[in-house]
Amino acid sequence: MGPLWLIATTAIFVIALAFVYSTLFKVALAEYLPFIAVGVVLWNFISAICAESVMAFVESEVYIRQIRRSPFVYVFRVISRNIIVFLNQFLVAAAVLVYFGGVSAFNIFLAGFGIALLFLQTLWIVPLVGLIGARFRDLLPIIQSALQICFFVTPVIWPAKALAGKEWVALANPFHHIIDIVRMPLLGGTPAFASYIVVGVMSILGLAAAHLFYSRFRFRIIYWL
Amino acid sequence: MVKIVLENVHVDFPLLQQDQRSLKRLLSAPLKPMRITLDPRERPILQALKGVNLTLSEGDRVAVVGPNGAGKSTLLRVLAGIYPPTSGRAVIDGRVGALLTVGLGMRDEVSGFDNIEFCLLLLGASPHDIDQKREDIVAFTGLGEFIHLHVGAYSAGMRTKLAFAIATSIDPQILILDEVFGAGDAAFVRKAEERMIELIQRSRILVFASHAPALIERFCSKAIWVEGGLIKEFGDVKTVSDAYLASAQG
Repeated sequence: MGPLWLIATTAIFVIALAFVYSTLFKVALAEYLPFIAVGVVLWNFISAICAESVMAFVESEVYIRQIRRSPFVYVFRVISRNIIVFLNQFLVAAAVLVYFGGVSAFNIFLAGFGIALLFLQTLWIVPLVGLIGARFRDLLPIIQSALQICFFVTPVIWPAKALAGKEWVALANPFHHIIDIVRMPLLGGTPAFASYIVVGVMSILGLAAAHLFYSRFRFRIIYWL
Repeated sequence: MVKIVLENVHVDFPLLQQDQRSLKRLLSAPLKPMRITLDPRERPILQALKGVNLTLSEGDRVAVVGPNGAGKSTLLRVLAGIYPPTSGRAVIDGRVGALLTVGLGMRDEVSGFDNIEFCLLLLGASPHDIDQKREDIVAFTGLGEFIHLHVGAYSAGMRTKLAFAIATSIDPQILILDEVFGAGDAAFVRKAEERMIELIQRSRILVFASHAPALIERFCSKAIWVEGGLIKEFGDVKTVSDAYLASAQG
């Protein structure tokens, strides 16, 4: 029953939101529903990764204290769990896309590339945030409120073009770019080249920072628990 | 060659939860072994091990004795490679199996059958051995068809049996044991003991922390007496154990 609930709650949330906001924004449901379905599923994944990575090592304390394993096992625990949830929720987005006409093979490929890049981000977010979260226990509420703010300032349920004249709000937001490289192709467009640059630079910097922190502090994790 | 070498190993726990004021009070109180101090950046730490030197080689059967809070568990976890020393060096050559708690990784919502696989992988068993080990575990526990029932529905005794059987099915070169394994009905205790002895015989190095002199003298040939984060004595099991008991009573 587990996966079914994931799918059902996502479906209900997306449809309810689409119904209300397409009226508010005065956009056709056929245009808005795919947009929001993909957006919400992506956002759920991103925010779950950010929030759960804080606890990556803390929640695995029992294991870390009793057994010698690379701490990365616990990183993969968070990542794999959330990828499974994501794939389940993505069925909702896929169903909506198919219902409203499908996606071309090339765009599916582009979106797949975007998803691969999205997954790549988890490889630095989880160890980095997990380390900080193990040391500073008040990080969780901070991240949670930050995510809530991000949800509203990121074009997840509203289109970036609605910013009319203040596009920088979206352009300066890395969440916007990472969502766009998956969502744009699925909606029949092509992501901006700049989005790939932003995500690419973010990956390199993120992985470098995570590597630096992880190799310096991996042996301290157990002392922080 | 299976061996363990500890060179001047220190383990300092940062006291992150300590509130400054109560710590000051603690520091000003005349504690006998001064193990709560400040590190160079003036953060409070607890010195669990204060420079331990130890070499264990193939065939060593070592008991660890000492009062509560002496650093026994910390030493065991350093030997198991779980705590990396904060300074000094720990070289651990060999496959380590550490049985510090029973039932690690056991999950209520899955069947005993699936739990066996998960726990074995967690303990570092190779995927090829799982089927064979599982057969052995099922036979040992005598759970029969219950093995396909989710563990949440097990009685406490059944659960202990299963956890014990899983934990003792590993074959490590270095075996680290913390105290007690037991419970279950009387017949099980006898079977458990046999199984434990088999496990101990399979290992090349045994480190065993216990408060029971009879057990220690039965399984071990050497003993380490830990006190105040230091090794006070290391030598023949009878000599060290008797010296420790004498000091504990006197």
